[in-house]
Amino acid sequence: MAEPTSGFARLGRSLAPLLQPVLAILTALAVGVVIIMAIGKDPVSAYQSFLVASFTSRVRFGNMLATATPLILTGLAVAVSFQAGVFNIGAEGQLYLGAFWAAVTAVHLASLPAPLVILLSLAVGVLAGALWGFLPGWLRAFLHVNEVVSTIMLNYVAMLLTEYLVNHPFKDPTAGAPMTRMIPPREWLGSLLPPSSAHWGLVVAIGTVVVVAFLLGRTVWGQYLRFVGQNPHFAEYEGIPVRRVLVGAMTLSGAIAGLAGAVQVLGINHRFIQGFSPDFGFTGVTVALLGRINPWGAAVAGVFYAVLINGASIMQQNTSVPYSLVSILQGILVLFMTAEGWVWLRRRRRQASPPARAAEPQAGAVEGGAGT
Amino acid sequence: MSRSEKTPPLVEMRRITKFFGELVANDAVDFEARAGEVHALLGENGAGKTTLMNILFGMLQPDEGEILVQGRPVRLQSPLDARRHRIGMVHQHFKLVPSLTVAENIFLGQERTRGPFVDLRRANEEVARLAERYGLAVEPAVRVERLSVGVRQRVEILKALSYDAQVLILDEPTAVLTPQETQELFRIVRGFAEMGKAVIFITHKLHEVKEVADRLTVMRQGRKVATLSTGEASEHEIARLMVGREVLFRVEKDPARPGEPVLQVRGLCGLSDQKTPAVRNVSFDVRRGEIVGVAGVEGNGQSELIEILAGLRPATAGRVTLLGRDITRAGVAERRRAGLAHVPEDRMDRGVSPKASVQENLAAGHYGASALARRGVLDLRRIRAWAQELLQRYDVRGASLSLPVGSLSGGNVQKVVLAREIALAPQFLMAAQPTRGLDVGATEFIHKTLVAERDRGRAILLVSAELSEVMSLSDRILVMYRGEIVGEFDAAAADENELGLYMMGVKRQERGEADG
Repeated sequence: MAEPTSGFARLGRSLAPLLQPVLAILTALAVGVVIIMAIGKDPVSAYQSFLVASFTSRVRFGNMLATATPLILTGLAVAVSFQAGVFNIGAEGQLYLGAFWAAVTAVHLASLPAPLVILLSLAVGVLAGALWGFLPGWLRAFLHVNEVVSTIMLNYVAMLLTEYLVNHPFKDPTAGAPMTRMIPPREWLGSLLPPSSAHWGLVVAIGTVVVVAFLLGRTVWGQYLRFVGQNPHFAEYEGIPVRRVLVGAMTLSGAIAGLAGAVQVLGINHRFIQGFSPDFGFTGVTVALLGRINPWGAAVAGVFYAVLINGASIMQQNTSVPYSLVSILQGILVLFMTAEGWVWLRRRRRQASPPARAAEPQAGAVEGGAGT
Repeated sequence: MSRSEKTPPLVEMRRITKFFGELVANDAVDFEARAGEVHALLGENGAGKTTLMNILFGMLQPDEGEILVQGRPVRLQSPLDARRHRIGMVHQHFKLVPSLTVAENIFLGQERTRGPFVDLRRANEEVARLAERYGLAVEPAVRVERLSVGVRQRVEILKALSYDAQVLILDEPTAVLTPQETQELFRIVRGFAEMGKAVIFITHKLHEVKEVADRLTVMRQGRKVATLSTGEASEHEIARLMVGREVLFRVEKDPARPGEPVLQVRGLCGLSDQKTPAVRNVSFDVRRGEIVGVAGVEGNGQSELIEILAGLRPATAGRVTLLGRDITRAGVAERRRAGLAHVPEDRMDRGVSPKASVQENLAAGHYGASALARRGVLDLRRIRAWAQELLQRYDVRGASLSLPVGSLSGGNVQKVVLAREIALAPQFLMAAQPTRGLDVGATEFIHKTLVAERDRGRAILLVSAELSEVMSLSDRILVMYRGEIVGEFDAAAADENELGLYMMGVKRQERGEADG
């Protein structure tokens, strides 16, 4: 039987958190190769566009970062809820409300100084998302309403509510499609890599990652939140106000998703457009899982996912391999990141270890006799 | 025993070696069990006893070595193979389906059928015959969920016997039994030996070995240390073989010098999870500088009592005061601020957050109390230094601060819990099943720590299903039966059998208002 040396074992332990996402990505890409070959295309050239093209020009790179911006935020939003052991599947709805009210704020306060309007608009977006996270959080904590069900349903409420508002009271009368009036250009988030569509929202997103990482990792509240997520019985026993923490986590999660919507409006669309989100909120679940529900992981996974999305468009143009390949890969990624098999594997490893561990202090003595 | 010396052993394990990853759980272990003997397998937790027996029961495959049944080499790839060779095992955690009847459980997987249908009547008859043959009283048609732990164990044993096991492995069978139930089990086990079966009895309780076993094998750190006739060695010598050094048996402590009452409980009532009365009109005091032990068969309201006192379960009536302050309706955080600390019964589920690091688990609850956070921001440097010091003081071996607590051994996890709770400098400390599943060394450490805290003037409430633990640690003993305190004893004068009668509800004292 193979016995890894302790050096390898230590290296393995420090890289272990990366193992699952990397294997998931590799597996997904391998399945992608099979699919591309099955539809008679060349996987090499397809993957060249798919994975590499985003780094071949300044514009493509910038556009990729623009796509990454809302994904980082929704991924972060979902990760916060997962850390607390609750499942906010409602980032999509929170994003819609955040986007809508941010747009309305920016349009209607146009007489104020631009920086102030931007701040107010972002704040209103955050508040709208926070409210849409608070509701299912409160229902869960105090009335035991399953938050997965309530957040999924509140997505539809949010999308249909904004659809009504943007078709009737807030519709831009001059526009043919349902959308609000345009936000004045001086209130847009400035661009980062012109002429690409990258904008200062990316900085906002990274800044939020930093803040949330600090909040979760370095504050008592964040520690409480993680305890609640890891083991609510322990949290209860420690006297941590479990319900308040749950509501807080869902509210924060919603607030970040709302911010994602506001940033998208101020940075890209410059108005609220019905159906503007290509599932940024839902994709946030994949991003959060791929990033192992860690704030920095969400940032990395958000960029990775943006590479896939933008690469897929380029691939579709260049090689006529359809864009929907991304959906397939996404499905596989989620499958692998949540697969029970991993849990099983880990449990098996844990079961295997107790007798070994007890012998650890005298490991030298045990090893001495092991080879004989 | 002498009659079996000539014939080959019923089972023989030769130079069994089993690796888990890079570590050796069993290192060239020889073991045998002869017809007509009770063979105790002894060792601390992690010594490799259960691994060895899981190999014999086909649940694990050895990496090296061979197994012989009645002198013939066999390969045991699964428990089914083991059954075919008439080896049966009763696991420490019963593997019964509570909603099925006794007979259904016994024949699960080997249902008695008539045509395509399950023949329950035949199953019931067979169980009744089996029960009669072995003198194990059970009712075949009763659902397992309605049975006491002792009877459930009998069902497990019958299940093993249902395929006519010649070798019966019992993994720590007495852990959940009262003294009387234990005696009954010993009688049954002796009976099996007289029928010519071999019984392998895994345990770490020495006095049981002396009582029931003919021979014993001691394991330590994956190796066999010795196989002896029970008469050959004293309990002390066996303990030294198990631990590898001298062990103190009795907890060394001076007489208590109790001070004023710290915790006062009056007329306390509370419900179980099923909303049935679990704690009934309980009154007692715990004074400064004494350990009050609660004895009782598990499930008689002790767990609920502790949870009510901890603020994790509401009291339906009565009053609890801590240092004169009424905390009957207080939340957990408020009670902890008032000076309560709690070593919970379920250490993995309640006592720690297994995925969180050792450091995070130690610091929990100390952000304010030990100034480990400033304005809500964790002072990581301070937390590290503080946690490191606790690790050293409590001798948590093989742990580093960043390791998840869940990867430590049970004894080390319990030390983490105890370290954290005692570091709160509590006025009142509750310890529920503080040494359950721990080995001799860790148990000794925890007992010493509790006594030291008592001598420092803490008021301590101890709940344990282990009567010997309650008797040796406590200064006063309360016996709980069906949610009531049915007796109070001075620990120095208490008698094990007498306590057993109270635990089973055979006797009870009429108690007035608790003293004080």
